[in-house]
Amino acid sequence: MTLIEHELAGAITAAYAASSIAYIFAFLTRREKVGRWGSFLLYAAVAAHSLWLVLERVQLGHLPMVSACNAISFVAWGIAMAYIVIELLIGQRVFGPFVTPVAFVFQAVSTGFLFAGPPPGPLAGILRSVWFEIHVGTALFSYCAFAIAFAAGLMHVLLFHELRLKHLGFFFDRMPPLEDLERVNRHAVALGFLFLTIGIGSGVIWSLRVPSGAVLLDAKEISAVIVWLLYAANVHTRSRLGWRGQRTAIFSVVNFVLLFAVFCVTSFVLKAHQF
Amino acid sequence: MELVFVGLNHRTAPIEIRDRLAIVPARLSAALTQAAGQTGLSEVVLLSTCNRSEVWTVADDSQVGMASIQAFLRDYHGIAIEQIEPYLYTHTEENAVRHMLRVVSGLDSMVLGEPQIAGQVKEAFEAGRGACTTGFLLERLYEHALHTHKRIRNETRLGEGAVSVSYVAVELARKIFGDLSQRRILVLGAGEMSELALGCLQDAGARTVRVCNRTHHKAVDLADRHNWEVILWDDFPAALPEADIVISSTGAPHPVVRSAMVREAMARRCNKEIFFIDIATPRDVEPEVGNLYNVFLFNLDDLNAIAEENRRRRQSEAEAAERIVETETQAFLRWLATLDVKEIIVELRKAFNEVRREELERLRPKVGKCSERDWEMVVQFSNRLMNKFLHQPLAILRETWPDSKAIGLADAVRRLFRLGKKPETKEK
Repeated sequence: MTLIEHELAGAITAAYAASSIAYIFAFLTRREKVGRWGSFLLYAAVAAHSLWLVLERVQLGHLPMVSACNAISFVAWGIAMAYIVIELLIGQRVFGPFVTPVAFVFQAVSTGFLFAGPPPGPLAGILRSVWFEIHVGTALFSYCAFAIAFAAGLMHVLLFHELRLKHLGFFFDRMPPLEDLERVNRHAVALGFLFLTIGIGSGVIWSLRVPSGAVLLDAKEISAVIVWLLYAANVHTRSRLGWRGQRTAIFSVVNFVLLFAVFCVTSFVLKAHQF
Repeated sequence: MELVFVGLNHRTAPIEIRDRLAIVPARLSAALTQAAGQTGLSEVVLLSTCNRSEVWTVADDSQVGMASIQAFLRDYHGIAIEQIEPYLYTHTEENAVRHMLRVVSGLDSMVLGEPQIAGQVKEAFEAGRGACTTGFLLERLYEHALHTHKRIRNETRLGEGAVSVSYVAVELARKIFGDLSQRRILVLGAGEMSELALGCLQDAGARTVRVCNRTHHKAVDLADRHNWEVILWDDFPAALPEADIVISSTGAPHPVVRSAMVREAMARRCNKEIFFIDIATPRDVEPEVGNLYNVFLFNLDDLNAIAEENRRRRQSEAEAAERIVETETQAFLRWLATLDVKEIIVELRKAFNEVRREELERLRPKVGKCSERDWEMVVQFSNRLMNKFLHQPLAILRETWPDSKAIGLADAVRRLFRLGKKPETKEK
């Protein structure tokens, strides 16, 4: 990794931070102009991040999603991209203060470990497989979808709480309707669960095709199954037990916090699932 | 030329007097023509709403203007001026500017910050244009009032938060369900309150309505008036699972919607959100219903408390809005002052003179050796040419002043020769 890429990663993190601050400030003060600055900074951050991914791709010779640092950075990029699509679709910045900080946290963790750790080496031979690419790509996209579900769920929890207290004010004035938040949460969880299922399934197929089962049953794989079970429960309670609104919103918020914690612990502390 | 506004509103006059001075839209054009025919009035707009009747004019002189407006009110409404004089207020010049800005922004309305008044003023001006009774000054003031209104909407929260029970219910429904067009409403009790709340929900897009009442024929009467579906009173528990919004306003002495009934309905509707609007006194819906999963229950006290809180918030925002009105009033007056014809003539001559002097300076080195006498002739020629060019426009300005047309001409001159600007707010 070159010095420029290091500096670019730092600048991207700073741009995500500035964008998050602008979105939060605009949300608190309801100043449209500040919100526009938030969008501008986010677009700039995503453009720079895309450039960084391209540079990494050129240097590594494969998509930068294999090392934990690169993977988590890719998730930050995916979350920001997904948010931009939502912002353009609904023409509102209301999800910004809840989504962009998540992208910032992911990117900050990635950049922190990028600066601290050794640069990623060349791609191991066993990883040169289409199944591995499907496995990593879908798993990371599922994290992006779960991040969006987390933001919508958190917003639902806050607005629901205010409505139940019958003290309408801060969130009532700023949030979209509960029904819309629920819909975003539901679709994001369903999409994320589908991607995660494909990710785990393709991972299993890939691991069966590599010699001697060397990558089976490490901490990350076990935690991935646990996360899959948690989201399966999230989907099941909604579709079969009739859970709606607040319960499913809390479920997706808790699930995502666990997912993030598990990802960080297994990737950066236990250093599992590395080749 | 002076702005003279005369009128009465909900604060100064009882409803009987307001009704006497109201002008129905169909007769507005004739009324405008009659008002504009009064002595000394060059521009007229009539604003007639359920809470106010006002005559906005541009008059040659304020005293003449007031007398003419009173004469119009007396003649048009056939009412002795002594009868209405105690209720009338008069605003001239600065106060008139401030008044229009406050009226259009909803600061003078019964419901502080209500947006309907801006639409009503727009209709009044459209009628004035139709009857050819508006002119440059009122039009410019109206334009400035709209700008002020927009600033207040953008910079304060004056118009936010419903302040009536019905609209609070609509805001809540929208915040829970978003789009109301696909929502099903069940109405328990065919009283006036139900009809009022339902009317607001329908204005917000709600379409599917079922109504029931203990006395069945009352429900039928109400449903027939609005083309709603009627169900029998005993069938309403079975209809609960299909309802998204329940409006309850029966005269029952005890709760008619029981917790067990709603729990069962929620199980049948797969726990989809349901919103109970209990506007009955005593309450129709058991308080325990509000604790059920995904049930939102707001009774009359809750809705009143929210409306009151919104009113308080609007009141605190009104101070900021008044400051904007004051700033904009002064901005308009500053602009108006620049339209003094004497000042414009001096400025215009100065601007032309400046051009003349510059051209002479540019010419001097080019003409080479010319005698002082010859150069003096050139200078005099330029001076005469300038005076000839300016003579006709300045004569027209002087002749028309102080007619309201001269104000338009003065503004045009200022714009064409960049002598001044539109009303501009210096501080924000």
